[in-house]
Amino acid sequence: MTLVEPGVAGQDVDQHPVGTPAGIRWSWAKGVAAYLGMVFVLVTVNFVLPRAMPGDPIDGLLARGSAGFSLGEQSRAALEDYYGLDGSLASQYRHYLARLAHGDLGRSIVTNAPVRKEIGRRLPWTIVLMGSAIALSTVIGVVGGVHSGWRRDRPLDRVLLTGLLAVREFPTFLLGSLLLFVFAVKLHWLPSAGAQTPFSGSFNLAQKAVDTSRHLLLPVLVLTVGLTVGNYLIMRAGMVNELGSDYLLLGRAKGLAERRLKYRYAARNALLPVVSVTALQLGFALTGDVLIERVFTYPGLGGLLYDSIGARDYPTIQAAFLVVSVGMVTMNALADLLYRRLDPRTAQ
Amino acid sequence: MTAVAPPVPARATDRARRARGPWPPVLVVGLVLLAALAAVALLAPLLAAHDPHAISGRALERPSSRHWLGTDVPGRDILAQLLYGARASLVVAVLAGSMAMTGAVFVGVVPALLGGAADTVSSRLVVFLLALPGLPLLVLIGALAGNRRAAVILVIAFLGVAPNARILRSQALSLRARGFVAAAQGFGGGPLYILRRHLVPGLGPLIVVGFVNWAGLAIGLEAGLAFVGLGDPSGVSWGLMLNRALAQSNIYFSAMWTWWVLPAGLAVAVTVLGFTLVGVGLEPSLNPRWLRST
Amino acid sequence: MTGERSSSTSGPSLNRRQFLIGSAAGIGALALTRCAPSVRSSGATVRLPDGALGFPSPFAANADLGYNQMSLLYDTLLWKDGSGQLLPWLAESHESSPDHIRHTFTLRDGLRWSDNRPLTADDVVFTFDYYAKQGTLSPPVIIQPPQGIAKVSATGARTVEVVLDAPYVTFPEQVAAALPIVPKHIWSSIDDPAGAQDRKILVGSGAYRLESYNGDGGALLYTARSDYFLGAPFVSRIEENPADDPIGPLLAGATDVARGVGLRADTLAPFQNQAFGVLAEQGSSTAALYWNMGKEGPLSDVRFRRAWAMAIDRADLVARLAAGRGRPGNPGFLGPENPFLTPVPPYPFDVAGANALLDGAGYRRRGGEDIRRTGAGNPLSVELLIENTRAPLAEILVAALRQIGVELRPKQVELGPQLFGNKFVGAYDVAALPFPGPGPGGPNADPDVLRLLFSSRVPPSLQAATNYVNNKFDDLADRQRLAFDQTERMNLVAQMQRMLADDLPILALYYPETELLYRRQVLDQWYITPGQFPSAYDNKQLFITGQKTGTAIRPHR
Repeated sequence: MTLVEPGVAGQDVDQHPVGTPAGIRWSWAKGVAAYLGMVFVLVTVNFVLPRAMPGDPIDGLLARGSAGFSLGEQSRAALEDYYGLDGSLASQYRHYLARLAHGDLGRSIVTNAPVRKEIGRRLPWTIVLMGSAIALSTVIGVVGGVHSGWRRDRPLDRVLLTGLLAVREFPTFLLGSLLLFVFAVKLHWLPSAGAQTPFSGSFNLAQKAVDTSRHLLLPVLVLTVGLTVGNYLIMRAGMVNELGSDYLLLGRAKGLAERRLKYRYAARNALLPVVSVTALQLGFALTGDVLIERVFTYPGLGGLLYDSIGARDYPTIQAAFLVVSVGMVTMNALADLLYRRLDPRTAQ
Repeated sequence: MTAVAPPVPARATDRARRARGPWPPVLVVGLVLLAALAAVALLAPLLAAHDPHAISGRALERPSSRHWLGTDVPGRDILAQLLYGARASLVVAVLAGSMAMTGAVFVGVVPALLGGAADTVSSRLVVFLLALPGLPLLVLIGALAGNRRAAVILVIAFLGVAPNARILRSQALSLRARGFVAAAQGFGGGPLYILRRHLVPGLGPLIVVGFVNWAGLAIGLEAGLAFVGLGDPSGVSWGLMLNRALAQSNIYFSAMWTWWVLPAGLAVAVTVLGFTLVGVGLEPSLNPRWLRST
Repeated sequence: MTGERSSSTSGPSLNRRQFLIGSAAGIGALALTRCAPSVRSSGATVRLPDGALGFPSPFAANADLGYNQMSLLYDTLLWKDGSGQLLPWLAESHESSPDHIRHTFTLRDGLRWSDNRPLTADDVVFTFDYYAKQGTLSPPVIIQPPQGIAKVSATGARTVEVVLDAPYVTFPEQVAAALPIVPKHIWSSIDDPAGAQDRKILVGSGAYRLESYNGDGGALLYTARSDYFLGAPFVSRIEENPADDPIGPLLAGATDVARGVGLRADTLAPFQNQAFGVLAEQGSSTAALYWNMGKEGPLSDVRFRRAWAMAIDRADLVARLAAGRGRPGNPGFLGPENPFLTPVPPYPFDVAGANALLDGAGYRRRGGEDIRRTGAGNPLSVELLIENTRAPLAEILVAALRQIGVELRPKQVELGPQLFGNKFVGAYDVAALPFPGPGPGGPNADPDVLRLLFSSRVPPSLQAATNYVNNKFDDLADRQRLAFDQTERMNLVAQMQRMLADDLPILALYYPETELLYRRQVLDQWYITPGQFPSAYDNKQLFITGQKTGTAIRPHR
């Protein structure tokens, strides 16, 4: 619940008045149709864009290995036929759509393994890594921002502000490789690569949890450092903006507790832009972070996206970027819904 | 500090502000930092002992009187690269950041305030831009545009439009829905008045934070783009210095990182810090309600 | 009016609860660093820092690394050990006819596949036929269907006769010791060998079983077969784990070996002690300049190319780009440790001489200009195609060529689609290519590589020179391939190298040293296989026998 500025009504921006059954159904239908339309456009873009890049997958294969391979006209044609790269663009597109409709994401040109398997292997790890970092950075940023903004220019605010800014300014991959060197190579406190200890299938659940956490510690720490300050600054700015509001004056005059004012009213209003930022971060989460994944040899989607581009591995590029696009669009839709719940006045 | 703040009349606000002095210390520090960086960028030819492109020493020399920060792999002076690098990095950061935020305002804020069809179209556009596969797009643009700094700046600015537009749009919608705009229009406030009283305080901090964020990212992005074929890899910038340094395997095994990685990293950090401090320092002037909270 | 005391005082507003949460998080993180669950194992274990490069079947394993991983599961007729000699492996004896055209292999008695079916001559014949049926395998599969084989037949339950169309001297090393023998009962029903990626089809004769496969780039686990025909292997367990940088994990104790190229002294320092061994090889790879001689103009003028060789200080490249560890490039192309290496005109670093050469060739500077012009008046401006991670090399070359009045314009591109792609179709002026690409057989390999790179009678390939036609060279190349007499072959190859040094179709710039660092505790006889193939670094012979040469398995201490 938010305190409304006295004397102002919400605005109707749609011909169907907000709140009526017809209005709700119509806006739902429009929303879903728009969502599906967007996904279809993205499917097409993800098909066209890789093929527009210079070079083709056969050249990409040469970079993976070749013993001075003799690639004459005949063998090149044979390879193109095998990988489905011959034929017109339109026919390749039709085949692509037909397979996609069956849930078949195709086979990677580089490894000949089904793309679905590779993505399926990396997706959970990416979600765990990015999800933890985003969750952690949002909590720290919001809590820090609330306290900082409320007590603006006090010692706590100054300490938080300078501390977070100082730590964030370094490029994350730099920080990551330094921490890895110190904690894994020099001190041997933490593992030096991977998402789990290799061949640890025999671990029980508790051991697995500890093992995964040990591998996650450094990458999540580094990512969180990079993500926190954005949320913190926005929350802080928003809190300060709320501080001067008349409704707070009113609330104090009415005798409400300071704490209640701070959290239930001011923070809640200031939270709205943070929702946008977090939704964006979650949308980008599936793209992973290729530099962090490289440094920590973490099996995430970021590395897959980057490597498949370099190899022009069309099926992998199409499928992986489609997953990311759909994730982004979905996150946006969810963020819009959440926004409407937090502040019903923004409902259209 | 009592629990209840007494109502503060408008004149007392101005008096309070004047009593503080017009310049918050944070703002001053930030401006000084940026001014120092700009000075370094301008005076680089005078300050550097060598041409940053010239191979003036042996490979990977330690710091000496001839090369204060040693040399890199081909043998170029690192200090000269650091000084000249300020130019590229500052230009890219400022231009890309401001162009990105301008674009974000046009794509995110204006349609949101206008409402109607403009808003629907722009919101779909923003989501679409966000969902576009960025990396293949960059490779493609790199192949078409080639090694030109202007292309890099445009691309980095373009990349910043959609995310910032998303954030600004939500806030603009919120402001509109809160009725400030309608109410102000109701009693005859012109666009400039609405801008100053409602939009700037409501959106200003977000725009400034967005600019600072994006300017900072731009410096690092510029170097990363070299790997997908964009930008001038034979140019001089801090991002490129960091890339070349970290391409050296096991750089932490030697002390080399202290004179090759650290200065460039610190330079980036100080620049971004400067922008951030300026942004934080500008908040009071953007938002008069700030002072009322004291 | 009283609010809660704590939030209305002027001190920091963190209350006790938040402080406790923060401390708990900090302590928890610290605790995580101290307790590490570990995997138990017994017996000699070797841990390598590589992820799987493709599925480890003969038709899907990529590059030399993938080949190594596959070779643990599949055997060949012969196999090379650390001294370079070919050992009898699946074949207990190998005889060739006096004219070297008929080769007879007698398989060992009692060979079995990992599913216990017997390995017979039929499987060998099937393997050759199956490969021939495939036509072209995908480029990253480095063992392609062998050429030059007329007929393969089983002349007994355990004997196979291979008939070649000519007495190729490279047949034993490049076919008999490289082609993995596959089981007929598995592969005869598979039409698409590259796509067959089910673990069940990995039935091989090799000394190890694949226990764990985690996708491309993932970890691999092999355990030894105690009933292997040579005996129970010395190393009973091989773990392969991907690591971005192998030096750190080696130092941290997580792996047992690491490879590096041109490592700096400070990186090698922690390994200069009793616990570790360091091996070095010169000439296993090179960065080479390719000129597109199909283009008119200075590129096809040999004097132009020779001037470049004199203007580029190749020893200085070693100092700058390989931390002083390596050798300057050889105009005759073969590497410093190649047994067939012959001295050739070295083109010493001489800028004045290069300038004089170009003056004499008719490329003059006009007025006060820096860049020379051709007789027709065009400036000597050449585009260099180079990988985007080799910027320092590009910069050094630009500076070097400026001194002789040539303008070099570097175009930095991605390795595969743009560098290899353009080089292959000849869309370039000058290209700086790594040699070998990701594959085996570099400058130290069998000299037949010169034929593959420079002969115009060989179909064009990625690493070959562009439009280099020299009939005398081609004749020599064809002859050396059939020369079984060592002295005669040496002579022919020496002539080839001198021709290459004269014509300079490709200039090898420098050979960075390759280092192998290993932990002595588990295996102390690591080696780099001479000739760089089949398996330059993780030769399975070492894992199986525990020593550098022979097939006898070393007993455990």
